[in-house]
Amino acid sequence: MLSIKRIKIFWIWALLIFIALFFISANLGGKRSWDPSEQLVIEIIAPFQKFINETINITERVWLKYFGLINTHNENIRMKKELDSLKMENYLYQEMLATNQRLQQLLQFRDMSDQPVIAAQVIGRDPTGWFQSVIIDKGKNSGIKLNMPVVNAEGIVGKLVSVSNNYSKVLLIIDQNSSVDCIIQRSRDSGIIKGLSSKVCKLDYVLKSSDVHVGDIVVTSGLGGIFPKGIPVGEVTEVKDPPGQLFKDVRIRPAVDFSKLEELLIILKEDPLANYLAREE
Amino acid sequence: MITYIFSWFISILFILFKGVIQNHAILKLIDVDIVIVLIVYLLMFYREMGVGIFAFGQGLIIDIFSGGILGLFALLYLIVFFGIRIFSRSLDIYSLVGQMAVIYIAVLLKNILMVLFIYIFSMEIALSFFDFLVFIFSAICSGLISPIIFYLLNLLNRFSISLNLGI
Repeated sequence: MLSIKRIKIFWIWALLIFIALFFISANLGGKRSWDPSEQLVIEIIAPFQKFINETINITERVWLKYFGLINTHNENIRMKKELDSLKMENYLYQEMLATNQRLQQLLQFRDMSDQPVIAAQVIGRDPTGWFQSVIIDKGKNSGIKLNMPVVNAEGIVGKLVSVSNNYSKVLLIIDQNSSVDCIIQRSRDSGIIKGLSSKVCKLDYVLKSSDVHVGDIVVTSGLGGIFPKGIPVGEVTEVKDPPGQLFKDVRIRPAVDFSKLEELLIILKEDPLANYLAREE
Repeated sequence: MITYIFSWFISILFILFKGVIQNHAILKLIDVDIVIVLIVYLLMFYREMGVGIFAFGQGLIIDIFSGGILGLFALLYLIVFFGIRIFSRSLDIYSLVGQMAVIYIAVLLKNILMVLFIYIFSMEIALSFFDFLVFIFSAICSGLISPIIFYLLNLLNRFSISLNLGI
């Protein structure tokens, strides 16, 4: 009896391991979107993440900008109250102003772009710290599809790798598994940008004969069909010419400050390959 | 049963919370792995199957929110669960020191396995010596915080027992 139970348990463990390995092998070929069951999980859980994100943001703002200042003014209770209320008001205005400026920059970008865009809010990041991705609060219901490019006023941010009805996952260009075809704006030499860390990227496959200097601006080439041409990617910070190697070693500082991602724009540009694959499925 | 359901809830909230605070360098350094702490706790009171499903499920939720391959963390936490089972044979998980030691080893195992998986699945992630220091620091932090979490879960366990007995 006991041995039958053990055999049963063994098969359940084997099944769990098989499922995990199946998921891994099914996804090794490249990024794929969430399937319906994963979409259901994300639709249920992501609102909690949105709530946590907003709670933390409010707490952080109140802590840093309100309580930090209030401690320095304790001479008079009445004065303090007046001052506090004015500061709170001022803080709210400042926050509104900062938001306004950010949104204005996004609007300027939207006006420059000839393709329709949609704004989204970042609600969470990769919980493991091993990968560079963010969850945004827009999904299929807003017209978003797989592989659409994501930008902000500073430049290119990444592309959509998973989409559910109301939420999506963006793989940032600073992720080491992301690659974007780019060109040097001045010399038009090409390369592929890959992430190293949130502050540094490398430009791979830059030929030895290429004309690349520190300070050159790198923009998207438009090749690959996902990212539109000419969106800022970053600035060249280091160029090395290692002997015995085919390509130059080029380091880039990303144009986008990935530690301060809040509002993003999704360019509603469909990826022909993703459409083809969707039709095939 | 209340503690088991509560563990799922707490663990999911913790995963989401980690996703929100990833920008803060200090909090990243003190990377406490509550999932492993909860696995060890549940292993003391619940059937292995239930705890294994908990480990697998939490890994899967992390996979959905993470930018990595789906199934990676599900497999990782399942292996860590088996590891904890093996460690708990030689270390007494019912004693405070034993619990902390098992959690410390399990978190280290998780990080080592993750590095191994990165190479096995050809994921391009650069690791520095600093990352290995963070692994050790993370394991120590998880071990040190476990008595507090265990104490709170014990309170909840007692509460659920008294509810069942109608006291």
